[in-house]
Amino acid sequence: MALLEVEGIGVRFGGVVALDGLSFSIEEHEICALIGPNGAGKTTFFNVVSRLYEPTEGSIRFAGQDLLSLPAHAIAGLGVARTFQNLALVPGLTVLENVMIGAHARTSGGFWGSALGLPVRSAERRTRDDAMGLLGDLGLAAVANRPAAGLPYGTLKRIELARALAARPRLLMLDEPASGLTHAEVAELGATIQRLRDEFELTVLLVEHHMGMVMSISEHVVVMEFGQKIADGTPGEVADDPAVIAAYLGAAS
Amino acid sequence: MSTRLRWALFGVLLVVAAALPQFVDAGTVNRLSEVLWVAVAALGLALVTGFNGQISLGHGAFVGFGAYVTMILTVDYNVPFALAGVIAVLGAFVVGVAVGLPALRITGVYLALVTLGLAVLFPQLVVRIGDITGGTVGRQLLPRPGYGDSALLEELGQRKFLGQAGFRAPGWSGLADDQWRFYVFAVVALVAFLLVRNLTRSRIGRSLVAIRDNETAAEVAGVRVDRTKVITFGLSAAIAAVGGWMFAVLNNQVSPTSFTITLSITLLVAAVLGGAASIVGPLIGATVVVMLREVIPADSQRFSQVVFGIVLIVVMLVAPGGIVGIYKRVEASVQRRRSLASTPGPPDPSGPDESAVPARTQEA
Ligand SMILES: Nc1ncnc2c1ncn2[C@@H]1O[C@H](COP(=O)(O)OP(=O)(O)OP(=O)(O)O)[C@@H](O)[C@H]1O
Ligand SMILES: [Mg+2]
Repeated sequence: MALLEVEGIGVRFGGVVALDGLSFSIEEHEICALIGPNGAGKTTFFNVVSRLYEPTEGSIRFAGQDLLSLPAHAIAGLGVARTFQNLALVPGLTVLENVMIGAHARTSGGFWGSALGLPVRSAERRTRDDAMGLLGDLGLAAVANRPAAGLPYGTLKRIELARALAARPRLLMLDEPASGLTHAEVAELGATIQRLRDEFELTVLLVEHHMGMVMSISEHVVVMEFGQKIADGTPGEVADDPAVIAAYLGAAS
Repeated sequence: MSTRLRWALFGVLLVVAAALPQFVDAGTVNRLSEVLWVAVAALGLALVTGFNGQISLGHGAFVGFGAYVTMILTVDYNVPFALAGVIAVLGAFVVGVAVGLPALRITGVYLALVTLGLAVLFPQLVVRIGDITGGTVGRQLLPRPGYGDSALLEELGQRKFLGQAGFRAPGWSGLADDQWRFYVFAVVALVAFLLVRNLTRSRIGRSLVAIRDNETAAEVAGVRVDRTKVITFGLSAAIAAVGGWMFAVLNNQVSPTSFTITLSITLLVAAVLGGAASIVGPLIGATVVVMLREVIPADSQRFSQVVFGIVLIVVMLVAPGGIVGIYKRVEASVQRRRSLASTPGPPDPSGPDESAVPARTQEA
C-alpha cells in the first residue's frame, strides 16, 4: 500500500485554479520528486497536506488514514513534517530551540506541568539532546545557541531540515531545499537527503527546480503544470516525456 | 550571563529583599510593595504580549478585577485574604479566557484597540454597579485605624461587614504590618516569577514564541495555536489579578480611578521598558516606573501619561528589547569579539548556485 495517496485534489483561489484534479501516490521509503514550472502548484499541494489550504475536492490518505479529516496541528503527529520554500523559522528562538519546536507533536507537557517544572525536566532534556544530535548530524552544532535570525541562508535551510527531522516523521516534504545553495552545497544536500532517508527510514517528497539533484537522487518523479499532473514515472521516463519537455521549454521562453 | 552568575545575582536579590524592610521606613517599604504588585501585573502582560505576541492595552482591567473581587469578598463575605486572592485569580482566568476567545479572530493593532476598549470600559462598569463596588469613590477594605466609633461599625455591619482583622502581621512574626505585607508580596511575586520562568523555558514557552513569530510554523509543528493563545490570555489575566490582589491588600482602598487606561499604559511601559519577552524585564520596568511616578507630581496625571507615552515610543524605537534587550546585545557583542579573537571564523558561503532555476517567491 502506498504511504500517501492523492486523489483528484482541486484548489481554487478566487478565479485561479491552483490545483486541478491532482492524483498520484508515493510508496513508502521512496524519494519522490514533485517538479514543474513556477506557479505549477507544488507549494500549494504542500499546503494542502499541511492542512493550511482547504481543497475544494479530492481526498488524501496517509498510511490509509483520511488526512483531510484532521486539523492542521494534527498533521505533524500523524507523521508528516515539512520545510518551507521561504523559510518559516522562529527568529525569537535559538537554533536549538527552533529544532526542539519540531518535536512538539511527539512530546508532552502542558501549561501546568511546564509551569511547575518538575515532571517535564527529563522529557525536556531528551528533546534537547535529540535536537542537539540532529544539529550535529547536519553540521550545525556550532550555531546551536545562536538566535535563528541573521544566519547565512544555507544554514537557515539546514536548520529547517533539522526541525522537520526532529518530528521523526514518516513522510518528509522538502520545498526547494537546494534553492540559494552553492554548487558544492547542492551536491552535499543530495547525498544528505539520501543518507537521512536510510538512517531515519523516511519517505521523501521533494519539490526542487535543481534538475541535476532531482534526477540523481529520486526514484519517482511527478511533473505538474498549471495544477495538473502531466507526467509520472521514473526519472528516465519523465525526462523523455514530450509533455514535460514542452512544459519546460514553454516555461523557459 | 552564565547560569551560576545568574543564580548568584538571584541570591543577592533575595537577601537584599529580605533585609531591606528592616532598614527603611514604612513609606519606603510600601513603595517596595508597590514595585512588587506592578511587577507581577506587568509579568502577566509580558507573558501574553511579550512572549505570545497578543498585544493587550487593557490589562489594567484585570488588575482592577482582582482588586475588586478581593475587596468585595473580604469585606462583604468575610472571606480570608488568601482565599479571596485564589478566587479572584481563578475568576480572572475565566474572564481572561472569555476575552481571549474573540481575540483569536483579531490580531495586531485591532487587538490593541479592542483591549484598549476593555481598559476604558472597566471603570465605567465599576461605577455602573456601584451597589457592590462603591461607585466613583470606591470602598475601603477595612475601617481605617482609629475609626473605631460604633456608628461606623454599625453602618459597616449593615453591609455585612463581619469585622475581619484585615491584612495584619501575625503576632508570632514580630513584624510591623507594612513589613509583613512586603514579605508576603515578595513570596507571592517570587512564586509568580518562578512559575512564568519555568513556563517560558518549556515546550509550551517555545510554542508561545513560535506563535508570536510565525503562527504557520507553530501550527505545522503541531502546536494547537488557538488553544494555546486562549489559555495564555487567561493565564496572563490571572497573573494580572494577582497584582490586583496585592494592590487591594496594600492600599486598603479600591476605587475606579486606580484602574483607568493610565494603569494599562503604565503596565505596558513597565513590561516594554524592562524587556517584554524576558522574565526579569517586568521587575526592572516596574522599579523604574514606580520611581518615575514618584518624581512626577501626583496632581499632574495628564503629565505622567505624556511622560509614559514618550518613554514607550522612545523604547520601541531605540531598544525594542527593553533594558534586558540592551544588556543581551552588549553581552552578545562582547562574546562575539572574544570568539573572533580566539578562532578565525569560517568563510561565508559564496553566492547562490546559478544553475538552479530562480524560483518566484511565494508565501507558504
Ligand atoms: N494563498 C494564495 N492566494 C492566492 N493565490 C495563490 C496562493 N497560493 C498560491 N497561489 C497561486 O496558485 C498558483 C500555484 O502557486 P504555487 O506557489 O503552488 O506554485 P509552485 O509550483 O510552488 O511555484 P514555485 O516553483 O514558483 O514555487 C499560482 O498561480 C499562485 O499565484
Ligand atoms: Mg513553490
